[in-house]
Amino acid sequence: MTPTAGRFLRHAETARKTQLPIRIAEATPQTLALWDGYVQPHVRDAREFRFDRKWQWAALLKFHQVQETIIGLAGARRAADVRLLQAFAERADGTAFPVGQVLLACGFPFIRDWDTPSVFLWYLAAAPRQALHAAGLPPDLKLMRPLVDIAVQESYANGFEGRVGLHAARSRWNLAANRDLYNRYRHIGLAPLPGGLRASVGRRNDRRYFYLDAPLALDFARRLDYLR
Amino acid sequence: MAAITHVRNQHAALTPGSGDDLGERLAALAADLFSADAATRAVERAFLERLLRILALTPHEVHDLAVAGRLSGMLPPDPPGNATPVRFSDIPGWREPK
Repeated sequence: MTPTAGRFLRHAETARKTQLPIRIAEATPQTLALWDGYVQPHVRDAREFRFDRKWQWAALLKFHQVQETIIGLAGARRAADVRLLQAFAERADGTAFPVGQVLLACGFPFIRDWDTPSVFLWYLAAAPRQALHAAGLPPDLKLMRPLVDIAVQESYANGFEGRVGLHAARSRWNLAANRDLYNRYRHIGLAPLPGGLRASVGRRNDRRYFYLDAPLALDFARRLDYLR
Repeated sequence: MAAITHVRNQHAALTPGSGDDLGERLAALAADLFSADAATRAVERAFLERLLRILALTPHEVHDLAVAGRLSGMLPPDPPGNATPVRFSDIPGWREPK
C-alpha cells in the first residue's frame, strides 16, 4: 500500500490549471439517468468522433455482470466484480453533474500476468465540452487521467497494487481517432502490452492493450496527489 | 412461454440485485417475439438461440461490439430513467468513511 492508495481524487483540473471539486461515486439508476439525460445526447450529437456514441451504459453494466457471473459459475476463473463509477462536479445550483464515468472489472486477470488479479477498465467516457458548457461547468475540464485514476485507486482498494489493464478502442474507419486515443493513453503514462504477449486466453494482441503494473501505477498516482 | 419464464428465473438467480431489470427486459423482448397466434416452437427456439448468442460472447467481444456500435441492436433499448437532480453534497463518496 502507498500513501495514495484508496484515496480518490477530490479535484479535477482545467486546461487553464484551475481546479474544480469532484466526487467519485458508484452509479445508481438515478445518477445513470442523469448521464443518459444530460450527457449522452451531447455524445450522440457531438461533431467530433466519439467511440461512445452508441454506448448504453446500463446494458453494458448488465452484460458484463452476467458474463462474469457465468464465467465464475462455469469455473473458468474467479468472477470479476463489475462496477460502474462516476465522477461528479457541482453545478452553480448545488446539484451534481456527471462529468465522466468508467466501467471496471475488479479481479480481472492482469494482461501482463494472467495469474494475478487486476482492475480491467472496460469503458471510459468523459462528458463532451458541449455537455459541460450546457451545465455551466468549465468545458476545458481534463478528465482522462482522473478517470483512469479511479481504476488505479480501485485496484489499490482491492489489494491489486494498482495493476490496471485496458484496451484502447479501435474504429474500423477512423484511423486518426485510433492514433489519437493510443497516443493519449501513452501520454498519461500507460505502457503498451508488448507485441509478443497475448492479452487473454484466445485473444490476440492487436497492439492496443495498455497496462499499469505496480511501479507504473505508483508513479501514475503520485502525479495526481495534488488533486486528492 | 415456459422457456422465457425459465430464462427470466435463471437470470434472477444468476444476478440477484436491486434495480436489475434485465430479466424483465428479456421477457419484454420475448413478448415482442411471441404473440398469441405465433407462439410456436420455432419462434421460441429463435428467441433462445438469440439469447444464447448473447450469453456466449466473451467480455472482449462485448467490448468490440459496443465500440463498433452494434451491441445496442442485441437488446431492447433501456427505458428512460428518472433523472431527478441530486445535490452534490448528497453524493456518497465511494469508499469514503461515512
